[in-house]
Amino acid sequence: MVTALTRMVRGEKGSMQWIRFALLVLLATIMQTSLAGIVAVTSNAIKPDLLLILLVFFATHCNATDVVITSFAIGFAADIASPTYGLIGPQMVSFGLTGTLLLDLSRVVSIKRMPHQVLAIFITGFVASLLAYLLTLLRAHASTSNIYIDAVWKPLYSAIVGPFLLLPIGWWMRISRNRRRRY
Amino acid sequence: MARKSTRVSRRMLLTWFMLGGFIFLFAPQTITSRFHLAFARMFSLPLSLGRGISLATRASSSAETVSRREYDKLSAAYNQQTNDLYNVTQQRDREYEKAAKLSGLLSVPDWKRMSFIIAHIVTDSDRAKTEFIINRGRDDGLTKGQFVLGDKAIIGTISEVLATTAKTKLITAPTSRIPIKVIRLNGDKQISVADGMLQGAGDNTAKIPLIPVKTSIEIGDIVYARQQTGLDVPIVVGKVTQCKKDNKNPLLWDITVKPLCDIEKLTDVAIIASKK
Repeated sequence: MVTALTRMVRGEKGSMQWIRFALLVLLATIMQTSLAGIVAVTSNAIKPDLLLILLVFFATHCNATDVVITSFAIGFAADIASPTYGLIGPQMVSFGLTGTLLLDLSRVVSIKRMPHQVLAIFITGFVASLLAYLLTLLRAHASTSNIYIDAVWKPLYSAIVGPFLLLPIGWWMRISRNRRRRY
Repeated sequence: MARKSTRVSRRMLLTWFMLGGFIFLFAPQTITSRFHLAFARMFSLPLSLGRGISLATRASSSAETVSRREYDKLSAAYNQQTNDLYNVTQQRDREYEKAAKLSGLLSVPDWKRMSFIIAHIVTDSDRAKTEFIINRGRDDGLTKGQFVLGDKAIIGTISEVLATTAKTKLITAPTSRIPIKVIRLNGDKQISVADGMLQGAGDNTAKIPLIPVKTSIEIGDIVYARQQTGLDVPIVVGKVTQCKKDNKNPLLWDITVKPLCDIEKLTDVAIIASKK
């Protein structure tokens, strides 16, 4: 029992450290809801999406099964952190799908260099926001003006900040480089 | 004994999670709201602390002739005073009317019959700017439908209540409907221009539909929530910021109303609880 717990906390070589992941997502959710406003810009209070940066990190650094689990979990956290009309699900599904798509893309294209990481965060954010917006329309009348902020400006801000956060995230998760082999 | 391990394929995992996501998406909002309220209740301390730091930093980050913090403080005070003036003037006129009608009879002013519950905002409004969470709930006497004041103007109603937390639906939320009346300030007098229903339009604005163009509405007219259950006196809600002919129906006005309170900068709100 103790050995199993120790394994979960410390993680085996090459395996996902789930407790570290849970703590990281929880911290990011709280920061996104409260402290991210410190770096908000313009009158629309555009702030970087920490959970989007996490999504890109895990989608480019973990194995296929872990990516699916982490993407949906981060999406669920995003729905809790910044809900739309009190709904849960739009970001969970959109993050889950875009995370999985990014996983397939990162097997073909290397996302190690900073410009590539910037582009990956921006495109992932754009696609995820657009998908979440369409899913929200299934349940509620969504506002159109927010879509520009959510799909363009927020991912752009996250893309600028993101690459600088990937290193500390990698250190915390004990992941230093891509584990996967490309096709 | 060899341990039996179960391997789940990526496709199967994706299907299950997608199914889970869609179940959440189509679940009633009363259920999903409980997740948000539970999160706010569990982490209310770091969330409100972080929001406070965030607001303070934003206030002090801009360098102007008057510091941003000072400007925000003065602006909030000005808003409060203006809204207070609107409410008091409205109340005064009503009391004049009452005095004229019931001369000789003693009555307690309606305003004094109301009591307020002060609450702290735990989380900012959501992505669509339609609701926020406060740190008061059923245990503090909150119930669904109570009106919420910010800077002495109505900003929304209580939409979901748990024991120690509650959700406030803003007047600008697309599902919000409040009976209102439009008042024009003419010198010292207030003239009632129109009665209608204030509907949230998202984008931090609300609309007053179905007002015919023959009604005289102007930019700057004040919008009050009408006397109704839970609201003993009319209280100011917003100001008409746009009034043009409706593109779809030229016989009606397209009236845009902006709240008289900057919700993003609020730290505390007051909930109206009528005295019994």
